[in-house]
Amino acid sequence: MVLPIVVNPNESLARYLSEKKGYFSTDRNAVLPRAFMPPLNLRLSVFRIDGLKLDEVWEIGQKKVIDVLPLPKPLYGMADIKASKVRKFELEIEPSNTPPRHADICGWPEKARHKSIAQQLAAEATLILK
Amino acid sequence: MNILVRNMRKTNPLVFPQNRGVSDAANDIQRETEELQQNISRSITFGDHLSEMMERLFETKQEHAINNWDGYGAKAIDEQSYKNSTRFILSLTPDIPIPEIGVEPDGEVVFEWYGGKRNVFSISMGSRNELTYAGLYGISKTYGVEHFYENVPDTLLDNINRVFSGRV
Repeated sequence: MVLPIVVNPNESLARYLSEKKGYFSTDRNAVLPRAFMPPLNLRLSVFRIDGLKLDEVWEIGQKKVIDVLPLPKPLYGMADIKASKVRKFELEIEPSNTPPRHADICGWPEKARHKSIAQQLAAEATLILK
Repeated sequence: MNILVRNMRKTNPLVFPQNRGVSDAANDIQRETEELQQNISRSITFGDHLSEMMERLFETKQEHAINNWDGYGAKAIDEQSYKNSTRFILSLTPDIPIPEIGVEPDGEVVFEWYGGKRNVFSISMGSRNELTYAGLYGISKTYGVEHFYENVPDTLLDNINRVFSGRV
């Protein structure tokens, strides 16, 4: 499947989860806000997963995220969120395609507001465990 | 009576006035005060509430002691944020529910009260006593920055209480 250059509003984006405490709750079946806190470079890494089977989604997560981490970590699952929900906060989704299907969520405001956005994105996201 | 109750809610016997001097002597006094607070807080006299929060903070420090703990370039826990967080914990009275404690990618300690997907309040402790906060309650949201001296600002206490008040 060839993805469009511009991310479609209905596209699903996966934020892979390699941390547990504070990132998701199995008891509540919920993604927690820290899963969407941007890193220091303010480019939050996600993958475009439309058209993929779940096995293929996990394969990308394992090979392109987990296996390249400097510390060994497990792949617990992903936070699945629609592109339209991200854009609602005036954030941009910049596809890099390096690695394939990769994109960054950019345009984060100052910290107080991005904490608030992270809370709202977590509330909108669906937790899918591996 | 209302004023008395409110003041009692905000007062913890471990809260000492913060030294705002800038001389070497003032710095020594501040350091010794912080050490004294930490030593007192380790005693069991002040109960499980305080002990559990200090234990969680200490565990969090150990888990985030090195740079890049998340694999995405996160900073190690900020030492001053950690010290400020011990003061913050000491200023919380036992009626405040115990928060989740973690570290954000910029190294700041974060305290989080989670009541559900749309019922959450979070405070990040900065290295210069700034408290960056955000809350989500149903479709309502709030965020901002407050400064921390001896007591937790009322704005933040009200938001913590809101998570558990059922007012969502």
